[in-house]
Amino acid sequence: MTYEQVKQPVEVVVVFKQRKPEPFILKWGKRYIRLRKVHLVHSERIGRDKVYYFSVSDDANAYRLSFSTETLNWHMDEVRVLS
Amino acid sequence: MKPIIAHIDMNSYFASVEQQANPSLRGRALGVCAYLYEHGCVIAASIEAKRQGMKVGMTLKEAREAVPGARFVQSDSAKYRSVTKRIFAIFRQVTDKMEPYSIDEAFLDMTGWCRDEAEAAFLLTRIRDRIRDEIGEWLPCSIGIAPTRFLAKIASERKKPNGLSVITMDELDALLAVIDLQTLPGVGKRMQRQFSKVGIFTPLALRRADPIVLLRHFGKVGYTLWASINGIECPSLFSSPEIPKSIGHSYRVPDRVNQEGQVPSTLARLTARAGDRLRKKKLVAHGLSLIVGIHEEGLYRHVQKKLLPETDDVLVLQAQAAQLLGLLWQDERVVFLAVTLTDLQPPSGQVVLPSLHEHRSASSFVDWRDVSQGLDRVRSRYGDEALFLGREWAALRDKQAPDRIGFRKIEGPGYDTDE
Repeated sequence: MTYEQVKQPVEVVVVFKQRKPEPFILKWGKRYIRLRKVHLVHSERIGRDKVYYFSVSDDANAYRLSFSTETLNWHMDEVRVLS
Repeated sequence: MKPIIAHIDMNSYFASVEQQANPSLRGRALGVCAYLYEHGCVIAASIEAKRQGMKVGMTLKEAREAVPGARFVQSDSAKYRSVTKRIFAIFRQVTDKMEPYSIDEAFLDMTGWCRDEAEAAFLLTRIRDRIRDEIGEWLPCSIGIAPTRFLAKIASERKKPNGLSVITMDELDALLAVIDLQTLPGVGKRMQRQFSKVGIFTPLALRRADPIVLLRHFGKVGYTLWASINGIECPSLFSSPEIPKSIGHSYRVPDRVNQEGQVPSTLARLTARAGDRLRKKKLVAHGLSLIVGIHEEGLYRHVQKKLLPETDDVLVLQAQAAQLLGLLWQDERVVFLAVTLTDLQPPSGQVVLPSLHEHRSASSFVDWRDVSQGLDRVRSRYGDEALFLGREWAALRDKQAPDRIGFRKIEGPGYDTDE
């Protein structure tokens, strides 16, 4: 697998750095993933919901996480193997 | 006070944003395509891809042949709009006069904020550092500083990627003697040929030409170019008209749409998208035109219609577009569809009275405009695809006619206008 669209609910531990949230640890299924870097944050308005997307990575994979400000839920949207 | 204008151009913007989001794409040849199939068009190429010969406008097939190891991703318009918004927010902290020119470039009027070009260069370099620190390290930009917007744009084109260039009026002649005519904004191959017919081969010759001669040969365009190259600011040059001439959506239709009989549905979707943008701009259309590309002929069939009365109603627009499709298309294989709403104006408020002889059926007592506005209200709350008409369903289900990103089109679905 080099790229997969998953769209699964995940649990995320967030830290605030310079008053901005950064996903720090990700619980995906039974795995805990320590995230190393946030590469890009962007947002999109879907009706009245505003969704924030975090493009992040650990040492092996890149992930795209989304956070809905309407439902306050986190989702894993995409996984990509870093090569 | 000496005018100081800066032009900031994000280099290979869409590709750079994709490389920023995904580190495995960095340092590689990357093409961003409107659609990922053979006839999909490359709308942005990474700096690495450009070095290897990939050009914007190539089809995916051509780009693969030109750069065999390249990777390709489909464009993500919401991502680019969101990043643009964050970049422009940084620009707005430098000056009160920031003018977005396109999704990846803007003019900053630094007059009064800086003593001279050197101070402007220092401030703008710090802006570049802020983009790197606050948004991402893989977003290069070129900066041009000059007394006018036209010259600032030329300056930013000079050093790419990540360059900074200053043009002053004292050094202008020396610069214009060495650059090509096509470097000037608005001058292409055709214009260059026309200039050569009147003995103008370099930008310096254009600067020294007689404006009366230019006006006679090239009309207003010739004079505007002469004035701009002489450091005279032409306000209309880069400004978009307040009311656009037209609003349209087009789609390079894949085979699957034909095989599954989704041409009318795809057209309905395109029309709905154009109608949404029309209503967001609070305009009505007096005309509608349709272009259908037919595979067998390799030709484009075109028809246009005056809308009487003018409308912004999605139901009317879709019905009119479907009627035009019936005139142009008899089940042939379609390769291209484009809907354009023309002759746009703000609504006049004129009440249209029903004709005395009009037959009043039960449906004529329903105000379809209310239905259309109701649809918009639901969408504004739950998203653009939360509620749609049945005729759009097949195209929506198969993700046909997706939102497309245009370089001059900064707003679009999902664009957050909140400050």
